[in-house]
Amino acid sequence: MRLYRGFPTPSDRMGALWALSGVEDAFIIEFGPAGTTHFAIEGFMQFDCDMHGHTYTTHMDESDITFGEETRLVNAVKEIDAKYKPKYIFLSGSSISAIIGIDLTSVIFGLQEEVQAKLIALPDCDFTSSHRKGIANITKLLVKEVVQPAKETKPLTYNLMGLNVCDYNWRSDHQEIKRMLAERLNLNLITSFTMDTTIEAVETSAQAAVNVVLHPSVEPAAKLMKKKYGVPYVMGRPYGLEQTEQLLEDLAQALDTLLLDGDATDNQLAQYAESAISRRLKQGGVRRIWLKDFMGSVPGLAGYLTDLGFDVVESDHAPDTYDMLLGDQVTAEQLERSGADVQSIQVSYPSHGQMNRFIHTPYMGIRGVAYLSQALYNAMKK
Amino acid sequence: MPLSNMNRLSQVQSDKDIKALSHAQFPGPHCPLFGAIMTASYVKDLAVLVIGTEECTYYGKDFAMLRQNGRDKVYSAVMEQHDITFGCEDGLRDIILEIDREEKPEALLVITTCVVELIGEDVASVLYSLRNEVDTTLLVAKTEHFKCNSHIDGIEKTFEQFSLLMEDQTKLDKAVNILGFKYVGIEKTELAQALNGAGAHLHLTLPSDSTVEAIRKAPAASLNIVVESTALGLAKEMEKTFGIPYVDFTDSLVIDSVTAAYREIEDHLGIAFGADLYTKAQSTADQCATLKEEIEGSTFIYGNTPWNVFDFTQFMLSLGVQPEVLQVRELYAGDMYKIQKILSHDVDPHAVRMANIAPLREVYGLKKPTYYFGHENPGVLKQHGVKQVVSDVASKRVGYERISELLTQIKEGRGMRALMGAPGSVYLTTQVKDKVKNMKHIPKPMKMMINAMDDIPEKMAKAILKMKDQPGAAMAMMGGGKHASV
Repeated sequence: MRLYRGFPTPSDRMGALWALSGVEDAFIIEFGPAGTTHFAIEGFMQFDCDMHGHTYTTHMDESDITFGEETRLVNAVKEIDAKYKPKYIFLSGSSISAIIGIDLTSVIFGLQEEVQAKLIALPDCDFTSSHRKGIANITKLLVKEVVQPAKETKPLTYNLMGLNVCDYNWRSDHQEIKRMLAERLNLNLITSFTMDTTIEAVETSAQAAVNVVLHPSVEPAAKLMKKKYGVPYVMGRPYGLEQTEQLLEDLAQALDTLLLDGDATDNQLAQYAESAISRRLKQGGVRRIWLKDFMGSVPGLAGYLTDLGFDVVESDHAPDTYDMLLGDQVTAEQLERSGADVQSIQVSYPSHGQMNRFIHTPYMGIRGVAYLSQALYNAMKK
Repeated sequence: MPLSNMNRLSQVQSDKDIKALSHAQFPGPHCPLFGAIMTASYVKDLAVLVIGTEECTYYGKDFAMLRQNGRDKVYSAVMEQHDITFGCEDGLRDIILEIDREEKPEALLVITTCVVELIGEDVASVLYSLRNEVDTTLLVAKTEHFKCNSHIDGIEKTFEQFSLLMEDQTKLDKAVNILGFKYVGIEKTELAQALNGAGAHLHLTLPSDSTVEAIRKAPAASLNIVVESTALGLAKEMEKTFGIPYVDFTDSLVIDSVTAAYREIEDHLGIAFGADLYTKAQSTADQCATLKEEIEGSTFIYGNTPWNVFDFTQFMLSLGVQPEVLQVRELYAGDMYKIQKILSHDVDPHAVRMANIAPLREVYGLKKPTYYFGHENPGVLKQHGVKQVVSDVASKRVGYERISELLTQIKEGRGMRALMGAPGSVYLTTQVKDKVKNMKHIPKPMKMMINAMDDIPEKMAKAILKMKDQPGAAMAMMGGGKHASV
């Protein structure tokens, strides 16, 4: 048993539901007490976004638990199948169904022939793994069960993997990646696993010429897509000019094409911003950054900051000394209330009561270099 | 036919007779953890330890943090595989001792959730065994959802635990506790002003304006007035332990009951309310009679209000409005008697389980009721010609004013838009509708809702009129309808 004074680490089940929620016409049935479903739906407010998948609960009472009854789930599946005729229904267990030993795979085995929809069981919660594992599971599950073979590859297309609603700034980063790949490689997005997409888009995603993997946790899904459908993938997290150019070059190589020129102003501004940081660092003062990436949303950022010349401490707990926090809103507010004279930049959730819908403040990509560097510079100045 | 397998009210003999409109429910009811943490988070300095899975503890923390603007004192004890297999007593003892020594809370409410109760961990005994090792007062609320169907159980249990914080006090003359009031502004209510005018004063309002210390001193009051039924258990416990009588003010939609409650308060405190107060009984009765003439014979579907569904139904029947479908959270003590009273009006509505929006929407067109009481997308109701009434504002009043406010809300048909501010002009509403009709970058549900509104609140209307029809326009509106904007 672990004690948390702040937020506990979200579980694999939570991550799985967050991921599936981004697939507009996904139908999900949860087999468990209804409260967790209701909480999960309202919990989306923390990310300032809406749940787009169709999530239902069966609820569960003492009798179901005592006798290991699956009838509620079976009835719910048949009902959704008959009423909405979805192509797929995802079945999610709960901590309770997992403990009493309800085997969703067995339920599907007995039920599949009676319904039109393809039934897909989500992995049981294991009381160990985090939301990142849940997101990775769903990404891989979609590749395994939903993506269909493509007759041919659609040139100049790609899928994105590894950005999710629980990643702070995902809207802006998503926008910048799309803008930049269109500008420098003339690429069009087929689907993002698993945001702002549909079942149909996921089904057709094997047409993509390449997969762009932005988070290492979802690499197994990209590997599976490569093995099953021959779609190559390129991994990277484009923080800073160097990593951004590297990702673009890797993509150009994978697609056997040449990089186009980007907007000169964007490039100049990015270079200026990075050099401004270097100059400021040489003047002394702010140097040590506490990077608290609660949601595991910014892999690679520590390396970039280190390359810029910062001394970065990646930790859930405050180091003895530090000059700046890159973390979540909750931690920043706690520091403020404690009277600490520390500047902070938000790079992660959790947060509360926050609007976060503007899409032109990226941390990734060329424009992200300029925006993030500017934020760092201003935080150092004070 | 969504209602074909549903029971009518006359067939309801126990909670199990209330069936959900569908097997797959959306969004489903809140759980007792929600009720417990909601109630606890009103008490400014009460520390809370939630024991359960990451999911329960995370969302519990998230909810409290949002309500308390980041100043909550909610801790989480997350169970691991080992705890589920072998129990968590040792780990829990260590955690409570750690919180006691390092955080030094005045009191700690330990909330157990489904998994803890499923594995049979006796948390109450663990807390009892720790009572001499800690300085903090330990409370416990069990919130397993598989034994009930809503959050109400969690509210009641949390209220009842508050009695364990209380200590004997020297009685203060004419001091009154209000139990069960969850809003800001008790002093503005008719009840509070009547008490004040008669020389009594408010000692504590629980839970909306409380601290651990204030709860400890609650027994200094001479009288408890219970304004919401979830606090009745606490009032009974305080009567038993501290000899404080209570007045049940929960039958708040019946004029005679309100009068009886006021009389009872006078008797207990030895005060006299002014004649002005009781003249409100007659003016409210007149208001009822006037509205009855206007709406008698119409029908309604009960979605959700701050009151007991059967109390509310009786109130509507007193206005001559017939129930078609009642959404019922669950049955509580005394509900069977209320059901019999409703049936005596020669009506027999369907009774279905609450918190299942999608199939209920199929019922609107079938039943075509005059009114829908509760929160719902106004556009959906408008499509079926159903008037929406949202009665949240009335629940913040206590006394005759509550009935009066509710009557006004029904008369004026105050729906969801009433919660958005003052209505704009007909001219503004027309302008907005004309503009929205041709906009391409606004989500369909939003378009539908705006078109369904009779008068669009002024602020909202002006915001829409300023909005440009371009990608991202939806962002200006709540929800937006998409994860990403383009």
